Amino acid sequence: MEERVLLEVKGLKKYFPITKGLFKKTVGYVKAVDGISLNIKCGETLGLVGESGCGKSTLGRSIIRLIEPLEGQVIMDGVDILSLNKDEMRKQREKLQIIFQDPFASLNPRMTVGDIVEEPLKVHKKGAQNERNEKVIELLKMVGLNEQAIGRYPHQFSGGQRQRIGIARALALNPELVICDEPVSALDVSVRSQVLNLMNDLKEKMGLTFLFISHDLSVVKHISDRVAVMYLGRLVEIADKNEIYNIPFHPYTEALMSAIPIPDPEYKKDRIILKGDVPSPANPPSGCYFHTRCLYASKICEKNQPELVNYGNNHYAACHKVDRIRKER
Amino acid sequence: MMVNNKNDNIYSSSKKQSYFRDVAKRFVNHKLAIIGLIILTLLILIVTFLPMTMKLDPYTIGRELPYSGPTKGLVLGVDNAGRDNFSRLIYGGRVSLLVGLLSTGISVLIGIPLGIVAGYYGKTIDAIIMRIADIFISFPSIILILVLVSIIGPSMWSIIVIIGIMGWPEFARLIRGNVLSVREKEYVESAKAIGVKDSEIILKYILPNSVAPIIVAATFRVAGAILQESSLSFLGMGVQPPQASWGNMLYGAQSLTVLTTKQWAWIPPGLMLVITICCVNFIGDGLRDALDPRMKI
Repeated sequence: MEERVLLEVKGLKKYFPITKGLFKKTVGYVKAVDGISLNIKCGETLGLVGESGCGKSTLGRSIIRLIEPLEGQVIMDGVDILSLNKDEMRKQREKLQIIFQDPFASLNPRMTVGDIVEEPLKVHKKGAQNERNEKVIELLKMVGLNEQAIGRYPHQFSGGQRQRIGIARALALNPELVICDEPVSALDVSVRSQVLNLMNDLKEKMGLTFLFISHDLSVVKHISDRVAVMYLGRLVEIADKNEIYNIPFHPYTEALMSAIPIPDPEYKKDRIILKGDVPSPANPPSGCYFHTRCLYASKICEKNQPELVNYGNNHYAACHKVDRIRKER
Repeated sequence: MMVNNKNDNIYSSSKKQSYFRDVAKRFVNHKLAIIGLIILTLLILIVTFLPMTMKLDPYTIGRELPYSGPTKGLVLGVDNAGRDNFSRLIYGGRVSLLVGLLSTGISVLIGIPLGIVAGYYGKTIDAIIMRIADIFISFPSIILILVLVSIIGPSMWSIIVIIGIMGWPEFARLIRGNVLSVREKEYVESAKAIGVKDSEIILKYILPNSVAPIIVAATFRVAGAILQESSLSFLGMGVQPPQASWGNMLYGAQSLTVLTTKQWAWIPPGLMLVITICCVNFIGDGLRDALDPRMKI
């Protein structure tokens, strides 16, 4: 795999204000993304996992500025894309695309499939009309739909087919980075693997880079090269897929991994059941955000916020207790 | 070459025209809407061409004693000044239909852009536009219209313009509400992700997906405007006699004796109002269904 860094995220933050009363006074912030830094390498698939509401999707959308982040940098080809103005950003979007979660909501019901797939080409003025028409057919074939689809409307397709249309639209411009925001969680299991394999094939063929957001650990394991784990708006661990699935350092990752179902009725799992609920992101705990539910927590975890530290082999974890945890294993 | 031809076929046969063909198909299948359309078209044809072909005369007074009943020459009798009721019915139709359609057109043309801008951009713009709409709505519109008419002077055109201007907040509010929900949809986000311009997002994504209720509201508004013109005519601020409108015919016939014994003076204009309003509503219903590609043909 190439080691060139395609996209570098530095200290990205997005807070949503909580307003109250007649004059919309801001009484607090939901820290959806709270200072995240990570690199996405050229040609890799970076899985991003975490439970509902931990800020995965907000992170993905902030990177491509569908949501304007509060602060931080997103550097691509040496340029901070957060500093681009409207027109420059519009051009930049050619390289950054997104595949959405819900294929029933992500296609305009009033546009034909042909128009939907052609639109990105039109917006970025790629080729003449007949060239675009050919390209649309090519794209549809590439995602396994036939050309009769052009004149039809999205509601005439099944969930899996719609997701393929969404993929064709996202890939029409040959983007460099594709944010996949839970692209298969709305599909049934039988279609899921087809779509995943299609995405993998296309990635190989077109040399794409994926940021794959999901809460489904088995899906992420199947498709990712590296995996990042988020908890309450922060990264807690990031490492190669095999490392993180086999020897997780962070106690939260450990608990997550123990929750993956194993298709063997005889197998007795020793699941780690976390106590309590996820704290509110509007009012996160002090120190390490995870200490309220952590099995290993001690005084230091309540006070100091742990940084992401490289424990060798590019395995980063943000935990004060990594050494103890590793020893106990 | 073969491939090219094939592609062209796919595009020409099933792309642009097919949307309108589908719309037409769905509309034709909506029986009430078709009946409404036929009747309304007939009405429009009648009120435009009948006066010329039959040489109708709605203005000469004293053709018979006031409120005399139907005779051979005057099929609907005469009104309080002895004018031919049938001619007045036809001429009144011109006025009522014009007032209804044009003033609604004005309301829609003002209301939709303002509502979309308010809903799409939100925040301050939204607050300003919607507060202005609130101000318009909070005044009893008939009084405001009366004041305006008395300033500008009563005539058919001033009434069309004034009723039109007073009607926009309804449309602005309705479409704003829809835009608020549509702009959060993922397909709008996907358009932004591709880099589609705001103006195009509004025209291709927001408008088609939020306009359906407007069509129905507009048909009701046509009916409302026709009635509003009638009320104004009654108060002496509407279409001035001798010019006829269905409204001033109705209100001209408003006395107990006329109502109970001279039905030919008020049933025809009343019936015409009911028929017109029903037709417009049916057409609106049909259009709403026809414009939605999700409806089965």
